[in-house]
This record gives sequence, C-alpha cells and structure tokens, in this order.
Amino acid sequence: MKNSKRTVNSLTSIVGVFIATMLFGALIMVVIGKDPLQAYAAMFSYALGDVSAIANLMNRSMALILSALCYAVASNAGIYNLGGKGQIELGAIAAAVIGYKLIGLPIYIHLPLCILAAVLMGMLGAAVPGYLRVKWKVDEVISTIMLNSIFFMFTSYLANYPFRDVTRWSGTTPPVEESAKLPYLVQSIDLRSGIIFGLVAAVVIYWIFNYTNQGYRWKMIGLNPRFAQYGGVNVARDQMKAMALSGLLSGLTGAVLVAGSNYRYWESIAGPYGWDGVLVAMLAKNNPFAIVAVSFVFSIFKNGALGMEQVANVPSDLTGVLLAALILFITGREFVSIIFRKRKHLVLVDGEAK
Amino acid sequence: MDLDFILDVLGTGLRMATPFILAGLGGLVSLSAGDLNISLEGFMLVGAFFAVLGSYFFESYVVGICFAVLATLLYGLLFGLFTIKLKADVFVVGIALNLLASEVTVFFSRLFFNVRGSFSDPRIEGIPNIHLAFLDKVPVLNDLLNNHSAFVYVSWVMIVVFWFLIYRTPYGFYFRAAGEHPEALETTGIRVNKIRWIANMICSVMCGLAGAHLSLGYLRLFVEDMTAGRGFIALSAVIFGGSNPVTMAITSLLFGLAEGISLRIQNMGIPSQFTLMLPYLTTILALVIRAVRKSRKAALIASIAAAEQKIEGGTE
Repeated sequence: MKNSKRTVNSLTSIVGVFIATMLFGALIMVVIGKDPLQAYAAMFSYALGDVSAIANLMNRSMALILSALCYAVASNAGIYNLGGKGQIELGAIAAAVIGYKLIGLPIYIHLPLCILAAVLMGMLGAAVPGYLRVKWKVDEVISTIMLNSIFFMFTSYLANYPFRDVTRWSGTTPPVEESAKLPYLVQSIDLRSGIIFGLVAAVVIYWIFNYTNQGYRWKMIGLNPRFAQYGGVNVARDQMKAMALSGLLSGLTGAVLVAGSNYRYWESIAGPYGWDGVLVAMLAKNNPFAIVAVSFVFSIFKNGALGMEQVANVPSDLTGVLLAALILFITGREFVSIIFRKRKHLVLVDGEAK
Repeated sequence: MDLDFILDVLGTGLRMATPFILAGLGGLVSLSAGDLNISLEGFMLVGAFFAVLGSYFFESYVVGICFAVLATLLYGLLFGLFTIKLKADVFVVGIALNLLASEVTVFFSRLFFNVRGSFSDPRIEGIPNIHLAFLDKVPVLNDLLNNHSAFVYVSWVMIVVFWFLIYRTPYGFYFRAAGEHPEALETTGIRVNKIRWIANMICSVMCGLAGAHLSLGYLRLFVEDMTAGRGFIALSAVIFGGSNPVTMAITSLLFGLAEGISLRIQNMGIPSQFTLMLPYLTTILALVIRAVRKSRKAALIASIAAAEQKIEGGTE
C-alpha cells in the first residue's frame, strides 16, 4: 500500500518536473523565434504518432531502463556506481566476441552464453571499484569515473586489434552469428525484445527492494551505514553485493545492445546511455517503476527531437540541453524543501538563543 | 630512437600538458577549499566554445579569451549557486554541468554557426606563438622550449603564481581551512562560503583559459566534445598531485608526455590505448596507496590506543 502510494507521489512530482522543463524549453524557443506549440506537437507526433514510432520508443527505453537500474541498485545501498558507461562497453564486447567466435551452436545455448559472458564482465568491472571501496575506502565516485576511461580504452583496443573486423575501417568487431541475436517481438514494426529485459529487470529490482531481506538491508545501509553496522548488517559484504548486481545490469545492457540491435560491438556503443541512466535514476529517486516511466519520457524527448527540427525548424540539439537542464530542476525540487527546513531550523536556533 | 624523436615527443608532451596544468591549478584551489569539481571537463568545453565564438565575431583572440573567461565564470556561478548556496551534492551538480556543457555547446554551434560537429573559419584568430629570442642559440632547449603557443608559457608562470598564492598568502591558508576545518575558519570570523565562492571563481577562470588554449592555442576551431576527457585527466592530476601546485604540474607534465607518446606511436601503428590509460590508472593507484596508508595509520592508532588501555588497566 505504502509503496504504491510513494510511487504515485514520485510520479506526480516527476510529471511536474517535466512540465517545468518543457516550459523552459518553450521559453528558449520563443527567444530564438520559433513556435513552441508547433514544435512540441511535432515532437509528440513524431515520437508517439504510430505503432512503429512507439516500437522505436520501446527499443530506446530498454537500454535507459537497464542502465538507470544499474545506478539505482548501487546508490540505494549507499555506494555510487558512475561506471555504468565503461561496464556497458565491457559487457557489449564480451557478448560480441562470444557471439561471433562460437559457430554452429543452437540459439538456446549460444545466446545465454553471450549474455552470461557480458554479465560476468559487467560484474567484474563493478567489483573492482566496489572492492577498493569496502576494503580501503577508496572513493568509488572517482574510481568509477576513472575506470570508465580505462575500460573504454581497453575495449577500444580489443575492437581495433585482436577482434577487429578487417573489412571495416575502424573500431568494430565482426557481426555476430544468427544464433547470438535476440529474436524480434514484432518484426513488421521493428519492435525488439530488449524491452522485455528492461521491464523484467525493473520488476525484479522492485521486488528485491521492497520484499526481501536483502533489499531491506540495502535500504538501511543507504540511509545510515553506521546504524546498519551496529544493527548487525555486514555493510561491506552487502555493498559488494549491490555493486555486483549493479555491474550485472550494466553487462546485461551491453549484451542487449549487441544481441538486440547492433549485432556487433562498435567503439563507444554505450553512447549516451551510461550517463543518461544516472540522470534517469536520480530523477526517479531510484524507484524502479518510476525509472521505467522516466525512461519513456526521456525517450520521447530524444526521439521527438528530429520531428521538432523538421516541422518547427527548432535545432534537434535543444532537447539535449533540456534534458541536461532537467537534472538542475530536480535538485531544485529538493531545494525548496531544504530552504524551508533551513528557515525552520533558524527559527528554532533563535528560540533557543532567547 | 634518435634525439630528434625524443625532442619531438618531449615537446608534444609539454604542449599537451598545458590544458592539464591550467585546469588542474583551478581544480586544485577548488579541491583545497573542499569542493571536488568533477566538471572541469564541462567548464573547459564551455571555455573552448566561447573562445571561438568571441574570436570569430570580433576577429581577435583577446576578445576570444575574454569571452571564454566570462562564460566559464557564469558557468561557475551556476556551480556555486547549486553547491554552495543550495547545498546540492557536488558530484550531482558536476555530472549535470558536464552533460549540460556538452549539450549547450552543440546547441549554440547550431544556433550561431549553423554547423554540427566542427566549426572553423579564417575569421577565427588564434593565440599567437611566442618566440623567445634568447633561446635561439641554445641547441637543444631551443627546439624544446621555444615557439610554443602563448598559453604554454602562461601556464608555467601560473604554477609559480599559484604556489605563491597557496603557500605565501593568507588565502592559501583560508582555502585549506575551508576544506579541512570549516568550523575553525568560521570561528576566526571568515565566512567559509565566501572562501568557497572565491575558490570556485578562480577554478572557473582557469578552466576558461584551458578551454581557450584548446580551441585557439594550436587549432583555431571548435569541435563537438573537443575536451575529449582532458578535464578528467586534469582532475586526475589534481587528485594525484594533491594541493601542491608543483607536484600537480609535474604530474600534468607526465600525463602530457603519456599523451605525446600515444600520439606518436599511434602514427607508427602501435596500439596507443594502453599509454592513454596511464593517467587514469595512476590516479586509481594513487587513491589506493593513499587509502591503504590511511587505513594502516588508523589501524596503528587503534592498536596503540588498545595497548595504552591495556597498560592503564594493568596499573589499576
């Protein structure tokens, strides 16, 4: 009961934030002399106008949902995994290499193998900063950011030298076998099955968060690690588990990007998904269902951008600016309460002083 | 390996280190005042874009530099507003500003230049190279140190200036106090937030200069996301070098050298990814070494305290 109420609450505040963002965007459009109504109408009709547009929206949302869950799982347990981007790359190249090296396997063996390899690589990529954190208190925010670059260089090396597709001019592995491709959900409208992974992962994580001991311990650690420690929770072990699950989700993102749509590894295949996932999770306050909703809205903005440009002549890059500004609006949302609390606090202090 | 090749790599390293040094000095001040600004990357990008904008419209590199500094100052105001005034998480704001910088510069280059990707134009005036006449007759040093872009020399002067600022003026003390013992600083009657604002403004200006050097120093053009991780390397130099400008600058030079070597061996067809990894790897290594030392120290202190307690217990 309480959980669903909280979900509804966070959904309404998310809607508010998006409306504020759109108003801000409208203001910019007016300043540069474009028609915001026409632009937004074009955006929605382009992103939601017909079945194949919606299918496209689903395809894009999948990676966002998974990568946002990756951040949410860790930060819910008080440990920050900003290395999603690098871990997705690791997962993707693992899936791609297994996908083209093994030949002649049936799909029900080959595909799970690809996903397994990707998931293991993702977990490994997250376990390194996680271990450094729980063992020696090495700041995981910095180490995960640095590891993003290290993993990127590493996968770029693999894709350019040992596993390079020599028929292409740079940075890609050969295409994967048929047996390493995820089947379509509905081929006629190009709806891919990756979205299933996103939705199932969201439900599973929601269940873990709210209905398991593990989820409760993570929440305790996230709220107050010392209290959790005194309460008998093994903080180090549970944070390691959170990092591992987080890395697992990153690896899965990489696997689905390869097996679900790209069918090979490209340099920087993670693209914007790593960081956008962080934003989505922050906006959704780590609530898995809110993450699904926010990912869809995010994707509407991104997919609709082209429509805005074609119809209303608004540069499509404006939506990028809006989405990046969004995070400032979110922190702004929290500020209102901080400012109020601060005032109250001051009054109290005054009262005590008298 | 002949001398020319070594000189060439060293010279490239010196040039490559300049943006790290400039942005790093800013990040160092900001870090010693307690805010680890992970958006050096975004600040530099904003600086790089506005340097080109100013230089293009006024056909003067001086205006370009002024534009870069003003724009990053404004960007710094945003950072300060959210982290200092509104007490938002430094990392969250940093991430947001990095993303915003990359999006805003792309959007503006569409808006002002109507191009996507990269923008160059003969009207953009670059920062001139400086010729030091007294080096002409010195054989090796002339090749190495002469005829660099002006900001290369500016960055070297800045190392001294910042060393002086941090170790020989009260501000250096204030910055460190604001970072390490804010309550103590507050009791001496100095507003911690004011010190943080000053540090933040210094950091913004330095990133603006670093950005201007990137787009006007040698290239005279703006490319989408042209900082390409250099802000994070500067951040690494700050974390590795600590609050001392000289160690930070030496670290920057080593990182610059790693980039210089990468560039050269890439041209020879040798994988450069592993040399490009070096700055990030060394940073993590430095973090680990520091953390291990700290935890050993803590364990030592704990064991001494336990031993003392035992002794005290024994005498009782």
